[in-house]
Amino acid sequence: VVAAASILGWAVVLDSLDPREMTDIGLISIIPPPAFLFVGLLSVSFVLCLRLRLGTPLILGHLVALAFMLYGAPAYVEELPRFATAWLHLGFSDAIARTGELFAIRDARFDWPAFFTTAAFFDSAMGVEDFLPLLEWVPPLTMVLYIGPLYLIIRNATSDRRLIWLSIWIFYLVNWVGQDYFSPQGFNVLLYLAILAVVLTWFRREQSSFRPPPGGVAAGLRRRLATRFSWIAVDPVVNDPAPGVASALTFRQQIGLVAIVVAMYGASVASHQLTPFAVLGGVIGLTVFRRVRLTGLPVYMLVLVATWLLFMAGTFLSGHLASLLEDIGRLDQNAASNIGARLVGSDGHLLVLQVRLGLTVALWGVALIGGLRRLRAGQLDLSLALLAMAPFGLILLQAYGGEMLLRVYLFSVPFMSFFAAAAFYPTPRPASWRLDLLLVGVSVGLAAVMLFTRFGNEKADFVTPEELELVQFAAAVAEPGDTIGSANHSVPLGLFEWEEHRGVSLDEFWRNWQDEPCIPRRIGTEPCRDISRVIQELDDRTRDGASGYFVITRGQVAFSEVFWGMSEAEFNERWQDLELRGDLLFRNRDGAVYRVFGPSLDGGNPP
Amino acid sequence: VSTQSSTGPAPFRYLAIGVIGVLGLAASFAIAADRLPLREITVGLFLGLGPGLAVTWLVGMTDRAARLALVVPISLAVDLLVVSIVLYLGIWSPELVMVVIVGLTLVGIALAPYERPARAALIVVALLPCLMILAGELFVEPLSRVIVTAWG
Repeated sequence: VVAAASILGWAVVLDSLDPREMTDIGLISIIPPPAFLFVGLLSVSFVLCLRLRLGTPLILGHLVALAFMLYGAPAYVEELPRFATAWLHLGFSDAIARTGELFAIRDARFDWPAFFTTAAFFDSAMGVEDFLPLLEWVPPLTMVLYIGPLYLIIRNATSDRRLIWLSIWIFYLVNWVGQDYFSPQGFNVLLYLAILAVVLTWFRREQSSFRPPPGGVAAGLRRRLATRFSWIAVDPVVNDPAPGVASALTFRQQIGLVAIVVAMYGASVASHQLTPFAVLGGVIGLTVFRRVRLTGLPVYMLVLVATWLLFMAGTFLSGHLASLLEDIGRLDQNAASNIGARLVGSDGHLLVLQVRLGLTVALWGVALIGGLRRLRAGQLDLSLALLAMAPFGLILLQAYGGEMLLRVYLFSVPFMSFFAAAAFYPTPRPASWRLDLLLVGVSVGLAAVMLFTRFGNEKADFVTPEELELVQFAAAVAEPGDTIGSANHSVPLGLFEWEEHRGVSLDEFWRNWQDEPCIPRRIGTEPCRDISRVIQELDDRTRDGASGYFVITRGQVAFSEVFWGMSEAEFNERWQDLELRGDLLFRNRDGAVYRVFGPSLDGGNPP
Repeated sequence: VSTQSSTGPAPFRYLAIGVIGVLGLAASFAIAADRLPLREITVGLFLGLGPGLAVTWLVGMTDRAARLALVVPISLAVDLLVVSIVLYLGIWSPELVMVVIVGLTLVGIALAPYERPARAALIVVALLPCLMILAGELFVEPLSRVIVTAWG
């Protein structure tokens, strides 16, 4: 009842908010502080459930409520699904459903197309006429699906149900990365957790494999080493025994469980570039430290992922092999492009970035304290520690377009959350009231920080009906082969017949147009300090004889402000030039659509 | 122990096979038919739960928490693999994909070891309303339309 009341109250408050009033710190700027009373209410109820050790359904209800309150927050405030990339992914699926084709030449993501093809199949099979209303509920639903595998994983480390549930609660409160939207990454985190859950639940070693052979000097040395390092293979279980693994699996069950791991890993390999490496890193860690019995699994995984890269992702690999190899081992450069290069934007955005970094460091710090408290209580939790640390190896591989640190955080946060929860409940002993009160306070505080960090870009990410009207118009007026330009990619163009006309985001040219060297070709000899350079670039990316359109939306103005620190006046200066240069086709309060060149404009293509 | 092996008769398993099979086949037909209001729910339920249930039965996974935790990811992985294979074979067809998934699910259930009757019955009870609704949409409504048209 309390969970239902909390989510209802939260939804009513958020439903009355106007997203247009958001500032450059995002969603938190319009949420009234009293709304957090509902988070407080839910937190009090959750902590009481833990304290009284109430049943699983009640606790699950609280977790589901928290997921829908935090991760569904934009859905209550905004009229349409957020985030242009989610619209683009839906556009990919829609294009596959309509044509049955992949478009690897157009976009590298089609070399790992399985998520999009499966979504296309679901779309066709279910006959969903309008997927958009579902799109905005994907993040909370995805987070709810993570509960099961996460529960299984943590259950291997502790039998204290409070610690298990608090770990998942904290995971919800600190997962600010925002990759759980309609994306291959969000789906792959589910596979990542499920694979690790199967491996740890059924293939965990119960006993040390360091069994020294009898007799001999070498054997004695081995015995001493084995005794010295036996902690690597066996946790010194003292106060908190984890439930036993399946020691009596039949051959059929073992084969079946391995097949499940193989199938899920295969699904991951076919649907995402990065997650298979994260799984591989985790499994290698567990194998090297002799935490699991499937010693051949990493080899198989490596073969599978290499095979996919060589034979199925050839289009991508042939064009990017050199740059991929270049990044390997360049820790300083990869880290710099993940931190330094991203710390730009408006003052509000910089504050959001700083709080994200602060939250990250704080979580890792509390996790360290939790790990030490568990250690002091006689629990090493080496398997979860390995899984928390393994993703950091990814930063050695490549920068991943400046997003690798985000992904490292994403893959490690479920396990970091366990150790952070262990800072509160290191042993199964009953907690004091003061600790429970602290937990409620921390929960409310983290909920506010989570909304601040996760939805800090919301001013640029939300989509209005007027913006939808603009892009629908542009997509309708453009013929197959035409291009539709935009100042940046914060525009939901991708959904509309993505494969027929080319959406071109001219970020760098719009942003740096005054600094770009002028190389007039087909545009003429106009000076560079105007829109010509932008249009020229659009023209260069348009096939001969086709038309070029330009769509300006509210989201692009907000994106330029938030991420580039560009003032509205600066943006409008460019927009006015565009207005003079192109033919206005359609305008509403959130933007306009122009035709900037084409066969019927100025008597030829292009002028 | 999180998984158990058991053998023995399976009186309810055959009922479950029938229900899931009919549901899957109905879902296959539903793809071809338009304007079925509950097609989303029925087909979605089958694709999201059916293959995973079959696999967990096949493996003999009797731990309720493990089954609940893994049924959706396993289902989605199976769906994804079948879709990918069909697509890369160059024979993209949602109907074919659905038939293959239904077939695999049925084979999985048929080969699974003995399942506790109560659990199978519970699944039947849970899936039956969906089946009835879909059957109504597929057969009763078209039939009534034919009758009304013929009468008119």
